[in-house]
Amino acid sequence: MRANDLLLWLSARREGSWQQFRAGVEEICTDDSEDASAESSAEDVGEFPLHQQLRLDFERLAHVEFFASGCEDGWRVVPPTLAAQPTADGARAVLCGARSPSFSERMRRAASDSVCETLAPSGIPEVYRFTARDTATLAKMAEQAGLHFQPDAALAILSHLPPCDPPKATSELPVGSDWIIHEFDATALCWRKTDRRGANTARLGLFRFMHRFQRPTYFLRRGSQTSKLPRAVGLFIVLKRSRHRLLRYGASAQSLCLPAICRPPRLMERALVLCSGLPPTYDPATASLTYVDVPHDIARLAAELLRQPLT
Amino acid sequence: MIKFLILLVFGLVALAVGAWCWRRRKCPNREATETAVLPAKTGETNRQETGKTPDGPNIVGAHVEVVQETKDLPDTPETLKESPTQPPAAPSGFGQIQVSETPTAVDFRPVPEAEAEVRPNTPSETIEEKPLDPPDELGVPIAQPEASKQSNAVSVLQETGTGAFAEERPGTSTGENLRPDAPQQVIATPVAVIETKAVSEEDAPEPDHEERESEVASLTPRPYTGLAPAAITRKPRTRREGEQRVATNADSTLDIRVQLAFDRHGGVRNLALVPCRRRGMPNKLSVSGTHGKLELSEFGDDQYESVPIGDENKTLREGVAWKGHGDARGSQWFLSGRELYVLASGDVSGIYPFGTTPCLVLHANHAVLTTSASRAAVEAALVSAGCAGFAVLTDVTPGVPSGWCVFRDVKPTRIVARRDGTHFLNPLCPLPDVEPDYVGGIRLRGRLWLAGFPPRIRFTGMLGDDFRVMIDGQPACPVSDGSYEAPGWDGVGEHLLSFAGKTNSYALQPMDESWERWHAHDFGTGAAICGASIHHVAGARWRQVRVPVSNPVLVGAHPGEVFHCALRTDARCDVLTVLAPFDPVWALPRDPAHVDKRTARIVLLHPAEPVVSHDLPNGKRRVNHGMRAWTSVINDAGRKNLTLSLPGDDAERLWRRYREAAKQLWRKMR
Repeated sequence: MRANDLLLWLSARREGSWQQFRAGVEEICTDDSEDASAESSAEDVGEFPLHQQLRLDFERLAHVEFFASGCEDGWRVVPPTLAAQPTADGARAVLCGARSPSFSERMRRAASDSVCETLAPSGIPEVYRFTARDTATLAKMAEQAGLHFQPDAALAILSHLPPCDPPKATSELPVGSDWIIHEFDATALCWRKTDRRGANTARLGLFRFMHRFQRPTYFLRRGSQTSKLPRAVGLFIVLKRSRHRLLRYGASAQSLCLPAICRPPRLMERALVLCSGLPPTYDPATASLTYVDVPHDIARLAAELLRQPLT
Repeated sequence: MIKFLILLVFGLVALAVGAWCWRRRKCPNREATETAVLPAKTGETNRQETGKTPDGPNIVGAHVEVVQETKDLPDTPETLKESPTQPPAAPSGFGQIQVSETPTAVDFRPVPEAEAEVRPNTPSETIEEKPLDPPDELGVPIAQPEASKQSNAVSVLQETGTGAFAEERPGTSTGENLRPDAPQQVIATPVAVIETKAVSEEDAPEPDHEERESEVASLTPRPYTGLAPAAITRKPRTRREGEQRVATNADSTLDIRVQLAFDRHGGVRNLALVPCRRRGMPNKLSVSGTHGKLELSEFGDDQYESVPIGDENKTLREGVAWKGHGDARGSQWFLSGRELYVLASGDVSGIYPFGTTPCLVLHANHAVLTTSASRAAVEAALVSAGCAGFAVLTDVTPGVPSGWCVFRDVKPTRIVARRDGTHFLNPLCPLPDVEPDYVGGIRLRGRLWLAGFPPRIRFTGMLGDDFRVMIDGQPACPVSDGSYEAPGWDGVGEHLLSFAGKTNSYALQPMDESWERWHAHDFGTGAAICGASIHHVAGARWRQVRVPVSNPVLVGAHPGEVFHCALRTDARCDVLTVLAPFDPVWALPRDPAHVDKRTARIVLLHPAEPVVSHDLPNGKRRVNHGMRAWTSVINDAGRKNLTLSLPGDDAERLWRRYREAAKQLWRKMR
């Protein structure tokens, strides 16, 4: 899979529709040979097709915005940004956003006062990380390279995100008999099949409505009210009531761990990913995700926004 | 006498009017063309004048239109009205009503108010499927005899932007017999828009299951005709040929192609149907057919999104037929059932990773999907085409349809003469045509690639010993991977490729690096998130600062620079980032005069000397409110003797200078 090439393609195209993104993924990232698709593990586990996996990774790594304001029907590439994060021994920055063929060379030239490391995790574009004594050095480097500079990137994003609280706006459950309905079981942390009657009579529950090949929509039933909302938000609203202690923080490794089915909302996940520049690692044995290099104050604020205690 | 004269005059006038009306009845269309659009009034039905031949259809403009009535209306003088103003006739049927020169009766049929908004779609009684009218020279259906059309009458009035109503008349029959290529007869004037539109299936109510089944049954896949030797000159490539296919006729037939992808375990990951698309076709459309009702959405200029194959064995053997609805009515998609499918790699077929092509392409990578019964014959044909090292996946392999097998890594190296007739193995006979094969690179669109990432230039077909390639007039040489290069072949700009008496071109374009930030996510906090960065929604250069939530008052170096952060109350935290309109130097508690001095601290954010001008306003001059706030908050913190969060000589000296400046300013402002 050529995620680097895909990022270059997206950078050159700037913006486009969801279908164009899918076509780009098919043309650039899928190959007719067997070995080339070996990295697309998500494809084979069946949860997401490759284009969905790439879309989520590109979104988490703050390279591209999908279905956001200004690109409601598709995607738009973000201008190149150096996202910095204070560390115990200085500051560290990750290169996010658009890239060009000449970019890496320019970055290396500008990074004379900092240490540049290039990581090549599978399935995502190369991660450029810069370490310096202080944030000012990184800011100067970004200026020389012609990049936006974002200090305290993770905290800045979290500071402007709403918490996972029930929405005030109400909506109706979809009509029709073709819907496949699931309810989230907050105790077993899984989706269970239910029917419309179960959805209508629930006092509190998150319901997933799927219709053939369309993307599922999620509805929260709270009392007599129904609200349509993002999956992760609804999930944590339900989990708050079940008093699960889902978030575990490892101070020594600065790692934040939570069940994989309880992925945080995407922008919050972006903030957590920007701490290290790497997407979370998945442990199939425990079915959990681990975000690394997350400072304690960031983990606490994230837990607060998720309405979860941090243990 | 006078009374008699008056009566006589009135009598003459009445006689003249009567004679005029009589003449009018006898020959209503004495003028060559005339418009008869009445001024529209809100709540009043417009009436349309159409010419109706005595024994035939009405004629509107250049189009022949059938007036479909349940019964003839009498041509009484009361029904005759004329427009007081007659706009000049338009050359086509669009814009105005034109009445033909043929003597016709004028038909004004007021539509009842109840029918004005939405005429209920009652296809069972009023809409019948009729055989397609034979088209005239303009491609418009010629009218059928009136008697055969009487049941098709549906009139709908639509409210226009001017508040007028437009009458919608049926011009053709419904369903698949409708010819969407016939232009809709839209007749518009400044006062009213009269639209003539066929009753489409989209307008009709959703047919129930039985209706749909019967409808689908009438649409059967076309039989696969096979490839005959005469087709040897046909280009197998369907993409990157440069020409734009324009959908000039919406009543068109399009192909459904098969897409295949392998997984890393050696099985088939995906087998799907890819409906082709022509330029000008809608981005989204609904079709019905073999797979029931489906919604198709645009995937590219030349194809819609793929649709998973349901019953793979049956679908591949019997084929697929879909019929478009709505804007795509009249369009039909077919995949002819067969026992052999040839799929080429995406660079050749345009469908990634493999898509169907008419036949094998020399030196390209293929997959071949065939029935288990034909396996031996196909294997022999592939060997005769010079394919070596191919693998066969039987139906025990995951993803391979039952009763089928898949040949992968099929790379033909020899041309094979086709068998006579349409032998089913003829698609396995590669053609000798030489075509460029641009492989890899980062393709932006068409034959435009990103500079620095050019494609490998290879060729398919029978190259021969004397095969020569020129790039921009310079001879190109084959390199180790079989592609051709010449000096400057990968430079920015357009390049001309000459080979075997043909020319082709490709271009390389550098990247434009002027990306812009925008408000991607705005949660109403005054800041927008775009990627990894935060910026103020006002667009001004606000500075981001990390402040403890206990110190939300930011103080800058200039008097007047005081900013009270609106800290969030919905989440407990120690520190937050905020955007301030200046470079803050100090962060102070919210009310320094009334805080607990044992816990409250002054936080130095960014060391900067106070900037106090000598010509400050003094005495009773107009005092800036911001200056007063600036001095007040510093003096309050000073009087309270708050300590610094990070004590240090430099910081304490700087704080003393700020206190001094604030005191001086306060004195001047008193």
